[in-house]
Amino acid sequence: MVAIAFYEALHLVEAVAASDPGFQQDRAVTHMERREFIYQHDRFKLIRLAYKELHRASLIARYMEGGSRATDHFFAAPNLHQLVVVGWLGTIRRWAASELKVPEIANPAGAAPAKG
Amino acid sequence: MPTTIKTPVHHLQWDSDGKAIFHTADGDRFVKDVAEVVEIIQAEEAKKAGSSKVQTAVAALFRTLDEWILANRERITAAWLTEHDRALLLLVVQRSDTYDQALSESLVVLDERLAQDAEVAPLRVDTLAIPSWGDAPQSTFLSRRLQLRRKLG
Repeated sequence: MVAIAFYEALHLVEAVAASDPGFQQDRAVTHMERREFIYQHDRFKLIRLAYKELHRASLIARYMEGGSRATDHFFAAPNLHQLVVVGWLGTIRRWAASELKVPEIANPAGAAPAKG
Repeated sequence: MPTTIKTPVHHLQWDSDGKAIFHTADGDRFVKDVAEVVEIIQAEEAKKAGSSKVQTAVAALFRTLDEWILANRERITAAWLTEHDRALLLLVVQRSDTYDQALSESLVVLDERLAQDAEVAPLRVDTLAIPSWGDAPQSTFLSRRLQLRRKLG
């Protein structure tokens, strides 16, 4: 779940960047370049914490030994969906909807609580 | 082997390959080691900036990281400087077993500071806090090319 949530966030960031002609020349390719982009432009200030936490959770889940269990434990499993989807991803969805001037962002990753 | 250098940068003490190193901005083996890694992982930017500027940036990075580490030492059990995804990475192991929002917020402030610091600008630097899960939680994220541990004690 956390990896899907992170990649949804990534695509929302890309969508906002693509919508602004001023950002076209700086478009990111790698995770590190995208991160630099987010920290260089104030437009992304509101989502820096949420984006970082989604990235971190996805790294822990995918790469740490016992990653899925570590994620459940570390992010307090019963609240995982609340924290990841409603909290961090929700923050980025609301921000993206505002930036893209659309009523809301659909909710494919957060339709139902899932593990991992 | 411990090395004392002329112009100390807060007398930082790090472990490299199990050895304690005192480093400074000038003539420091640690600064040079990291600068060499930067010249590999950020070849284009390092070439453009020049070796001297990269070393100055690394020294400035140490100062900033050390300030953050000292300010957050109660929240972490280990701090490493390594490289990941063609960038330098401050990797910290969180003391709390569960999510520590204050630590996360503090890392975002550090990220912003690093991104806006002109002296550090030639360097790409990321930060990552991981839970203290398993015997060596950091092992996955430490690069063979660069592993420097900041002594917290």
